[in-house]
Amino acid sequence: MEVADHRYRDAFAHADTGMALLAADGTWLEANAALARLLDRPREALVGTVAHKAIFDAPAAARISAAIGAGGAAAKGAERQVLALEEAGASPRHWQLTLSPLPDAAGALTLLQVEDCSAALAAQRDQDMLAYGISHDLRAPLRSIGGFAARLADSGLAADAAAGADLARIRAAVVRAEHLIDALLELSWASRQPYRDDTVDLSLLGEWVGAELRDADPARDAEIAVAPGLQAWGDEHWLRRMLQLLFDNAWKFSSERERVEIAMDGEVSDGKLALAIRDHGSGFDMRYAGKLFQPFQRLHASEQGGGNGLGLAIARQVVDRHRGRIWAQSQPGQGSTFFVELPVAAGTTP
Amino acid sequence: MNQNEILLIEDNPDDIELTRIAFTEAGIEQRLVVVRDGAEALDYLFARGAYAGRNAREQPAIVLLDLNLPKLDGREVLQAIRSDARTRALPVVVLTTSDEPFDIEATYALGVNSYIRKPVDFEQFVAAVKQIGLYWLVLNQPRVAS
Repeated sequence: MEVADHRYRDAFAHADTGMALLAADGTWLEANAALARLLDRPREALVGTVAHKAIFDAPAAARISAAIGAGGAAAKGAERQVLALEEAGASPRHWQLTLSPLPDAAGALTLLQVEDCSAALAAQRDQDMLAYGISHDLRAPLRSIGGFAARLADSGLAADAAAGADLARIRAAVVRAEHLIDALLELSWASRQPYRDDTVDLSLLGEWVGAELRDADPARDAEIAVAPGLQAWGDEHWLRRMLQLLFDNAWKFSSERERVEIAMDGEVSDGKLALAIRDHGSGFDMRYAGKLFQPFQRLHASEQGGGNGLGLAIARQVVDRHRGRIWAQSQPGQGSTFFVELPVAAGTTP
Repeated sequence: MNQNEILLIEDNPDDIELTRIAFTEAGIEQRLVVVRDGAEALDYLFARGAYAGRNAREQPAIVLLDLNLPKLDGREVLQAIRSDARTRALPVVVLTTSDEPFDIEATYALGVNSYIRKPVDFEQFVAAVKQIGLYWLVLNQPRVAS
């Protein structure tokens, strides 16, 4: 192959990503040092051969061969193809292969990039098992504590006021701990579950979430205004949940106001929706704005409406999964505005 | 079908005790038979091993199944129940701590009749047990054994 400029040749040779150049017949024309390290083979053993046939098992090698060459992705004009391969063995390795036909070479050359994602997958698996363990094993002792405290309260043995109050504290703590487990699991699901892709009517969801808040506290004077026609692209369940968490916050931190005022509107530009949810609640000090969306970073004590410290972290996770952005502006005593940017259609990324 | 018997498959002694109390408080009078792991549950249902003397035609009115069990776990127990003619029609209610979407999905795929997450709060737990009893032991019309 001809690389006109030696600087590009150097960049290829010294890149930290494992890379190889493949001819249409599958022969590896070049391989860099990072790839040799990754595959644990000398460069000389890779170059000049159809190396993927020696490295991966037959079906995996066949998939690579199918993606390159005359009938492969390059000929069909596909931009790139990502293959996930699993290698058998005592500690199996997981590869992510990206095959990109080089446009100038008219399908004759394919750039292969190889990443070892074994560690990332193992970490993901550990996280899944941890979430699973939490949901099973941590709830069981909580149920014992709460259940037997309830029995003790009913038995009459704790008849004096102090003992009764102690038991009430134990049971309230159990309920708090359960909500915390629920929120932790929700945060974990928000990051793990596959999301659906569809056009989502955010105005409808906003009205719905607002109506739920009103129903939960009908005596409260509240004005919730949702602009019509706001649409985004994404997962309806999780976008609804995000709105619920933001509206819930707005409602909670308006407790010192005579009436709750929440307004949601938005505008579309460049294929993205910029959503704004305003309240006239207690607000927060912008010095701490960076902590807002981090788990367990509360800006308010529980008496001021502070929750379990996970609500906005869940909202951020949902927005991240939509490849969007979320941030807030506030002035203490003046209320807060939460901004969310979301794609409006498939393929548009804020 | 033995309408006077409920089979509880549960390994946690605290949960067994709380379930017993909840059934009493809910006014459910059926006898609660407790087995401590999946293997014992199948021995009981199929009248073998320690339960060889039992009449396997007399099946409980309802089976309450925990998912995380020693030896055979809840899913394997459910699978065995659904693949044997003697127990195929048995109402099985999963009563568990997990609300992982994965667990719920997998358990329904195996043919569970109902999936209930045990509430941590004891009063809610009693209320849940009461409803299970009312539905499965009073309202539900079981299949007539052939």
